[in-house]
Amino acid sequence: MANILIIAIGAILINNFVLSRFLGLCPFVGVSKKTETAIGMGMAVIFVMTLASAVTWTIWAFFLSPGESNLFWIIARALGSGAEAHAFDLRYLNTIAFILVIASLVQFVELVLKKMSPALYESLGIFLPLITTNCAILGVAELNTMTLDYNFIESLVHGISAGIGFTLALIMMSGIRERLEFAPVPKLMRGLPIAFIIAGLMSMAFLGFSGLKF
Amino acid sequence: MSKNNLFKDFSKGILIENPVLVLGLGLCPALAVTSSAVNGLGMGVAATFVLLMSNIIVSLIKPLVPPKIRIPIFILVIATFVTIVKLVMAAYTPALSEALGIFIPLIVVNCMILGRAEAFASKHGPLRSTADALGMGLGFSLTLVLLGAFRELIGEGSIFGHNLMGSSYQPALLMILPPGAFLSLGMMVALSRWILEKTTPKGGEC
Amino acid sequence: MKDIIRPGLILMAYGLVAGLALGIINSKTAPIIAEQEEAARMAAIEAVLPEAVVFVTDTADGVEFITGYIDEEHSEIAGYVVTAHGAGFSSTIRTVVGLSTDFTVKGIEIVFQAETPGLGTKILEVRKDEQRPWFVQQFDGREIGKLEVDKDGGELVSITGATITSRAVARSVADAADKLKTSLEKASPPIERLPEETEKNDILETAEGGEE
Repeated sequence: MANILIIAIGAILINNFVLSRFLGLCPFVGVSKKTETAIGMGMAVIFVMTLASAVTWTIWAFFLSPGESNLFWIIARALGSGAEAHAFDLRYLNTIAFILVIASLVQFVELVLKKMSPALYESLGIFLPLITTNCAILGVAELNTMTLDYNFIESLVHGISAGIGFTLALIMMSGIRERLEFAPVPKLMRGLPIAFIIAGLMSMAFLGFSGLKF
Repeated sequence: MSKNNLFKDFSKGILIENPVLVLGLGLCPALAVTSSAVNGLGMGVAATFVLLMSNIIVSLIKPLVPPKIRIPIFILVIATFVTIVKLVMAAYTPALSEALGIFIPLIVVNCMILGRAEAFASKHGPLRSTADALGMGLGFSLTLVLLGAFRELIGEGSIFGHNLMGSSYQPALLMILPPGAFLSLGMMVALSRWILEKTTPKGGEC
Repeated sequence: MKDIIRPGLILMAYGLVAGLALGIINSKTAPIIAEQEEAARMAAIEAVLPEAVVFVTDTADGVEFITGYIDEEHSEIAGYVVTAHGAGFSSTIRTVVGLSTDFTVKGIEIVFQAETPGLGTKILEVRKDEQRPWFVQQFDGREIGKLEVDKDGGELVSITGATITSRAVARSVADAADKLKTSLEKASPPIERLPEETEKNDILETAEGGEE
């Protein structure tokens, strides 16, 4: 249980996806001009990230990783093949499998939302196509499986928290940028450069969280 | 269609349409791996290779791609080359492969690559697509190397591992850390705008 | 319906071509990657247990470890090697630990980490005119019970700004050593050795071959 809490706080504050891991920067810079859109984008990301964490972990565990639980091996054994469990190592296909799954997942979510909840689709729908190429989603899938070696529950918690961390950074950024509209920013610094400087200062503030003791 | 045209396709990516500094694409790797010049170069070369191959393939297969499913097919092509790069790097440059970590597989979602496939390669022939990819790749790599060199110089007192600042230099660790990445890139974008502003009126063309 | 089937088939065809190409490339690179990992692992094992000549893989009570012998006749045990896994700041850090027969640490070697550049990665920082990282050197000759970083009241000097990383290494090493100790004591008298042994000389040869 403590472990779960550490993962959650770690992904939201200490290893914030945007400010410390540098994932999901395109939407962070692109969709942070208004707080309203930032909230919409954030919610869509949390939703897709959680789903994607669950689905990609399942694919990793049952289709790509070698071992007793690999479904291809189970099928091969049932068909009478004497191949060893280690032979079914498809981990090298993870990137291609994950991105295709995420792309179809986003399409599927879009379809379901359109049918089930038109109101929600109104507010989140326009952000969904952007999410496929949001590297935070593929990033969380890769981190869960390759780098951090999480189990299913840990992956799920990491996915949700990473999405919350992303949303937190996005909303804070949009709040600052809304006020910045009225600030006398030098012409050369307007837009992208000042956004990066702000992100740098925010990142500096978030660096303070790494002193949190567990 | 002249050589001039081809050169324009190539050169625009370096500054006028620099993917990172002007178009704001491929930001994640540009910030994440540039804690040293070597890492920046490694990422630049890897992304350029993927961009080049996917641009060529996309421009060749474009008659065989139904418009409705072109994006999934482009992603598939890109993901294939990314996996190739990932495997080859793990086999022949394991140290670099470990340093770049998940940002190698994340080249798949580098908006720069899908963006060029969609905006350029799916509309032009293989020759011009090659020129476009090489120019964009060079612009991307140059930006990453410069950013990495700057951060490494201030943050560790060295460039490409060679100590330049002398032993008395107290490195500003902040530049290696995440905030340093944001601050450096912000200043670099402003600098590139300043250069563009200085050069464009004299040249007369955009 | 036709609208879905036709594009689906086309996409599948592309996927098949891509999968085939990757399969071929993987079959070429996989042995090289495996060889490299093995060479790196062997180099780490030899570094933490330098007196040993022959290494034998073993399991006791579910714990996997390697026994190092000082000669080919297996007359005397030089020590044991276990791999420790510790949750660091942004990655799972893998450390190879060499232990003497009375369970003091002979040496450790960090084989995988993806920590914050400039902070956590300092566990691999080598001081001028030294061979091994200073953080790692502190573990040499320490008893299992004394593997704590200064922030937790121990003697190991942790890395400035990277307590989580330092602590992860220290705790995982202590845990792995402790587990091996308990399981070996449980399993004694010494269990039957498994036949799969690897000789240092053979491995060195393949390792050299792999670098070319």
